[in-house]
Amino acid sequence: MAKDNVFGYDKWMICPDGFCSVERDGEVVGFQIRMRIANYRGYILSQIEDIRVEIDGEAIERDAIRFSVGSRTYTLEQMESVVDDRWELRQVATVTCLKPGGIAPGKHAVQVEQHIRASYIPMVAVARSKTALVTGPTVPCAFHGSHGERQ
Amino acid sequence: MQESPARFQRGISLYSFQEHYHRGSLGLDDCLAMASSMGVTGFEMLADQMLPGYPSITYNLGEDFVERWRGMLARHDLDPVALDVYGETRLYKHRARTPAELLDEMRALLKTAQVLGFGILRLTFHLPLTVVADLLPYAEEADIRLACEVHAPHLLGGEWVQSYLNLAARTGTRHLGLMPDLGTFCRHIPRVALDEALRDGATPRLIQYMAEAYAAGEATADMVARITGMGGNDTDLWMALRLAIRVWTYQPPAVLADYLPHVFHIHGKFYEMTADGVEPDIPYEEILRVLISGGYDGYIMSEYEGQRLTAGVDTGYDEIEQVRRHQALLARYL
Repeated sequence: MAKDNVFGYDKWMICPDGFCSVERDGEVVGFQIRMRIANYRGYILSQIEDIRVEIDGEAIERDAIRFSVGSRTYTLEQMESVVDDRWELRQVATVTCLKPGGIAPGKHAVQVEQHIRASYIPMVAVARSKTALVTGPTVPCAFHGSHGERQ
Repeated sequence: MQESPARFQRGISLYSFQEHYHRGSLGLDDCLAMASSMGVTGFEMLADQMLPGYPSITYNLGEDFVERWRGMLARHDLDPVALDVYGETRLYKHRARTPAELLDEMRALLKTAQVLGFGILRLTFHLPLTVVADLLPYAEEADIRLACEVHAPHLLGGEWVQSYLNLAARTGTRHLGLMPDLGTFCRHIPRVALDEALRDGATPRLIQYMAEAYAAGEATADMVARITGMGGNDTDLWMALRLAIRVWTYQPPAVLADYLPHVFHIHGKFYEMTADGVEPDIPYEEILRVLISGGYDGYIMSEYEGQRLTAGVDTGYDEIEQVRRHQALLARYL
């Protein structure tokens, strides 16, 4: 398990596929990264304190991030009070970063963090992973509404 | 004097196959098939790892899953022995949960265990003892035994264990006991953890210093300050921090004998099984001798913990091969 992450699995948290711009109603509204939970168990969404994304060294604003798992989509602020939904071990979540125009085609340095508040340790564990990803073809946005309302 | 014959049972915690599960190379049915193929009759698992719909603070098993579950158990001829749960005390960022909320959650998990046929519910030390006390009558009614996992940094001789034993004595219950984790008997910092630190750029001299301090049984609460003073880098300090918060602990195996009347179940934690069948950091031979002479007749579950320390490195330490070697070690005593 890497430094600062007692839970491991950080090496596999960024999926190599599905990194691309996303469109809605014919307009490119952002880009997405597919992600696995960096943990040996699943977590209730209220315990995912933060998801951070940096592209080519530039941080994405927290309120521009949408988290989709299963059939639902949330803002990170909404997630703080979601206790009836979860991120299971094998579920790939789609993290959408709202950014008009999406991401330029090609290779980018991608860094993500997952901040997980486990009940049995007295801190928030931070898993961090950095990799280079090449964009794939633009896909439809993982959710419909502009602010992550449930599908 | 003739030595008493071994009466313990060998089992497998599906936790051991977590990397295969996480990466999709083994599903739940495959994990059960794997356990069964290794000749065990009983298994253990974490609700929040391999049960669809979990973690959940409410009962959340689907009817089709329960049906599929029963089919899998019958097909693989396996007994569900222990279900490992937590109780989410830190569910909310801005407030603690009330004892009543935690009791509701634990009752839902008890029901989950009951529906799936588990006879033991694993609790951990972060759950308030008052909640355990309130859960006890429900556990008795369901005839499910509550076993508190004695895991680092806690030791058998510690006050948490005593508070559990006091509760059991006060209530006269037969449904509350202990589940020691054999990782509390680490003679050394596990070799796989030291190797990982060195791979990640730790300073060999400082890693050796910490390994020696640990093996000598020194107090390590101030290790971060010591390693900072010695010019340690971030990776050195990460090792120092883990020593300071006691991620690994040692206690003499003989201490187990005193607690055996309260031990329902054992986590056979291991970090590494060498090709010649030895766990280099945990004194299994000594531990098993204590358990056998004490007449322990519960399960010892293979619980492999090395995968996350060797992630992405080709060490030859596949989870399946590791569990197979650990099972062979246990079987040598039966």
